[in-house]
Amino acid sequence: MPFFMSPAALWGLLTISVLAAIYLFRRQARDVKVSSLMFFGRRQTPAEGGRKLTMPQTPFILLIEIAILVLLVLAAANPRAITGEKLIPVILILDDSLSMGVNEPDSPRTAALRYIESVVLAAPSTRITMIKAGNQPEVIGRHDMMPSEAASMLATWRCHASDADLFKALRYVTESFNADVSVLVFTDHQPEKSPEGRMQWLSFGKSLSNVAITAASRYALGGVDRCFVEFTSFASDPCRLEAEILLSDQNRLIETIDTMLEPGETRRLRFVVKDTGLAVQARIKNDPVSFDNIAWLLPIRRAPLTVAVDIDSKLLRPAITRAIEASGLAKVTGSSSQLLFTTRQAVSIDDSRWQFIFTIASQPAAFSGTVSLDKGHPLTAGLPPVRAAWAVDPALRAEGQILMSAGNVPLLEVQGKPEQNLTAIFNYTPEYSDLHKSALWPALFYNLLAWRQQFSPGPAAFNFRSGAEISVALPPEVERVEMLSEEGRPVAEVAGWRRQAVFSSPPPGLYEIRAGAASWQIAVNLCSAKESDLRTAATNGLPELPLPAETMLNFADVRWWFIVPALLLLILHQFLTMHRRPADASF
Amino acid sequence: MSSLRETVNAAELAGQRFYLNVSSRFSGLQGGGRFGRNTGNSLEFVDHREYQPGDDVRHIDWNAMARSDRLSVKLFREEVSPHLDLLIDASRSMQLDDTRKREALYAMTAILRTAAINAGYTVSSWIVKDRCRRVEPASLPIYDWPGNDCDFSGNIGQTLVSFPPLLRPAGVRVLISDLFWNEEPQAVLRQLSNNAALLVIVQLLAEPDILPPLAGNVRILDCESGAAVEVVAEEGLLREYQANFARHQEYWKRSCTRVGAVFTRCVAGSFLQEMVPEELLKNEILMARSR
Repeated sequence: MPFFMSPAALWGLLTISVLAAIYLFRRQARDVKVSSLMFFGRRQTPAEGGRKLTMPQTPFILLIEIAILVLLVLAAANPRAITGEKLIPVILILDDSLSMGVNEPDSPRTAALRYIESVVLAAPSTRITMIKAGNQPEVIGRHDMMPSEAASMLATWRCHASDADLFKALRYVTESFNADVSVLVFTDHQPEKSPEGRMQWLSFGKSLSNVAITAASRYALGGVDRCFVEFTSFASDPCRLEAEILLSDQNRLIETIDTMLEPGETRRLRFVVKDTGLAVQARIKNDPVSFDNIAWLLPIRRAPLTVAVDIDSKLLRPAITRAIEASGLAKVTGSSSQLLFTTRQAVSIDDSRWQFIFTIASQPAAFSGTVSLDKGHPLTAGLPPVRAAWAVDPALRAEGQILMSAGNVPLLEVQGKPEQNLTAIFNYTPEYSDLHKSALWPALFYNLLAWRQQFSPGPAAFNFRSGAEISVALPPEVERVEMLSEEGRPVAEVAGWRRQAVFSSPPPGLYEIRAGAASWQIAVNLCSAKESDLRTAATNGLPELPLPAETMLNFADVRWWFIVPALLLLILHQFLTMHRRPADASF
Repeated sequence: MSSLRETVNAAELAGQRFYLNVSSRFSGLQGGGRFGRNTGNSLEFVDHREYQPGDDVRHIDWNAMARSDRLSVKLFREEVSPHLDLLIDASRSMQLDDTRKREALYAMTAILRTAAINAGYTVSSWIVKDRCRRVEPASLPIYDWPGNDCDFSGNIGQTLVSFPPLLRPAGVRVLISDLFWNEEPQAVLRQLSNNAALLVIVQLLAEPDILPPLAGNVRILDCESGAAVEVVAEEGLLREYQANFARHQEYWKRSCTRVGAVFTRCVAGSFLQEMVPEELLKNEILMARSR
């Protein structure tokens, strides 16, 4: 099926009516009376029969002439053919942010879907690639789908991301596709500058006034949790903010706000929650744009790690115990610990148990000088400089990854996999050292315990911003993990790898993560000023055919499809007009 | 009608310039009560001339021979009783639209009738349609003849063969027609020439009969039968027409020669301009009168 680059030439088809008129005019026989038909030989026909039989005969030459005319007009319209693999490559970049779902059922997403289905997918001979532009670009389905397949995949575009990085998606297109692809961006706001080349920016948004929760956080501070909630006005006029902070314990009200906000003004609220095991909900009561009106702050305190200390040194044991207790992340137990501090070269049986082994030298060497430190490792990240005496075993040879070293002497090394039975070897002889009295000591232990805790079953955090990946550490023997909505409906299920599972971000709300017998509750909050600011949303003029005309220039010029048959018909026409029988009325 | 009247009057006036030849070469003519223009067997002496082989020996003037020793014969005035039968084709083709064929038909009739009367002929006129009807009284002006409108759509040849007129024996017979019918000429000519002193066929044509004015896409209508045919008129068609027409005319000529008839042709337009039947004069059927 060819496209026509110059469809205006199709007006030339009107000449067919002119031809037909000329033909009919010419065919209008003039009556001539003669004395006798006897000299016209065999062409005599009865008057009645002649009139009725001759006229309806197929005007073959007229048909040929019309066919020639049609073919020449079609050739003049500059047809381009697209066949087989030569389909028009079209890439749809779909803004996956929450603002596209505002004001359902008249949301920008609904309008965009309607446009895509009625215009883009209806365009002939296209192969479509759909890229969801969320925090990261994500291809929906596969590359180069047929329109019907793309239509079936569109339902996966649900606009749950906290941010739509359209330019990252465009960069991905630039890097991954040829320059001749047509790119259509579906979003709710105008571009910062006019798109160029084969990119078309299609905006379906509508400017709205909005008040939103733009930040919410909770952190532990001693025996209480401190919370922080930020409200921002994205209205064009001063507006009223009515909000409240509730504890999940029977919706106990702990704070209320009733104030006026100027356009763009931010109001921050800080408060303390003593019941660290209760969830906190912040909500705006008077804003019709509801997708950013609620934030949940769930309890953030994890179950403490169980730590065993199998050390006899009277210097080392209290230093370790004190550092563990100071961290607030673990408690020292006697048995079934998740982490063992020891001075013995023990072999761990439990594949999820970590060991921290102190290598105490019988003939230590005093060390002074610069310590090399791997600051990128979670165990040594953020450690302060070493300002203490450090006696080491100079004969110790490293077998794993060295994190701290002095010259050729390893000070701290790790062996094994963190998701299994990791072993850390610390070259330290406390009798001749005072590192355990320096600031580095509790920091090192905090890092160790925090790192270990990351590999304890459960999510990496309990309160997420929408768009962030939700990482879950799996209990031993659990291969799959499931995410359920607040109503108990399955939202997602992923397989674990190395006892870790990662969910892509669900829409804001409360979720339960279930891994085997264990389960945890998490909250996803939008908290995105960029998404909540709907003042710049707009709709631009939507073209009937979004594909730029030059798209078709890539494809084969098939004017010869029409010119060659037209020439053949011309030859036939010439032959018939030259060689037909004299005065033969049947032509 | 007024046009016909004027034309007939003009033709009768023109006919005064001619007389129908009354000649012994029209072997069928019998002796009668009128003198012919030539020498003959009457008792009225005209002249002497030298004997020529073949002369009737009864006309040798013996007295003159005795006086001059030369053989001479007496010439006597011819005595004839001539009659002309005019047969007029009144079919529709003789009244072809946009032509003056009918006027020419009756103009020719008028000239022949006048010339015949000038030569002492008695004249009978026959209008040929489905039957051959004699015009009576014979002196009736042509434009007042009953049935002089050419409206017969049948075959004149068939009428002449199937319902022949009662023609006077040994008379001169003239048929004026376009001869556009599908009938064997021999049958018609045999019928008309039987017992005739002379048969003259005058083919009267209009210019479109010789070269039809056809161009482009036309529907040709036969004015007699109403039959029609649609054609794209072009050179080939006209060539074919002219060839067929010439063949037809040649066939009639040959047929006339075979029965001793005289075939002449007349084209209406040019004839009406001059009112001179050239071919009849050329064949000495008509003779110019001396002033």
